[in-house]
Amino acid sequence: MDVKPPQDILTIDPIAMNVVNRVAAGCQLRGELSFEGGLLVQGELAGNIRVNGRLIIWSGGVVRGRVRVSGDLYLFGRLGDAGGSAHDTSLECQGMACVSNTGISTGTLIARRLQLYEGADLQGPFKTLKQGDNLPVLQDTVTAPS
Amino acid sequence: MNDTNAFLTQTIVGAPFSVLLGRPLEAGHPSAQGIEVPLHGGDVRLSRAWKNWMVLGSASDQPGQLRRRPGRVRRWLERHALALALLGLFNLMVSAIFWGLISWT
Repeated sequence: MDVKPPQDILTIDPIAMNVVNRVAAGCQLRGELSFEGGLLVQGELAGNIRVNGRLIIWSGGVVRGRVRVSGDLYLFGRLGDAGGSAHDTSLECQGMACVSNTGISTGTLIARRLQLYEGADLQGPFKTLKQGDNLPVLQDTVTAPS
Repeated sequence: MNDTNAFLTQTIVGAPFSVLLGRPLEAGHPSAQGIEVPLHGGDVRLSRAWKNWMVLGSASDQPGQLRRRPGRVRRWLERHALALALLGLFNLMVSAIFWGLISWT
């Protein structure tokens, strides 16, 4: 007998998860963006984005461009353009990338771990982030010469 | 996070809520799972299947931790917990009155 595995749930507690930023549905942000703390995206976000915390792309939310996330990624919406190439959007996640049953990714996804759910649409490539990839030289911070 | 930030976060981002992720695509675990004893270190922990079954509360979970959706029976019991508790109290009262009357007569 084929028994289906039970479904997973995630409790999103903005305070416990330090998700202090939100791009609401209907909002569009573009450019060089940096978020201190977690971010919930229900609108559209594009550009060079840095999130120092968890990133939650909600159902209906879209993220494009170059994205770096220091925490986990929860993808319920879309990463990258519909029909776009994998080079247009790339997301580097230092934690776990979790693509739910409604999540769509057309961009390049780089993460330490990947958790896929039945119905998730992973169209772009996935690369595993190794421990050595987190070298200080790869960080964006540039120290000023003394 | 101070009280003001917590208030603003809860007002703008929202109150805690649970969302369904779906069925995980992963290699099936063997049905019989027990206590895991990792070779590195001596700590002993319950495997995920047992933890989901035995540990009812998820208050001690790490924030952002994925967990199994409770089964149908448990969801029904949780939804009707108040009614079941009231029914139990009612039964207890009826039973006490009944046996009180029996002993009185």
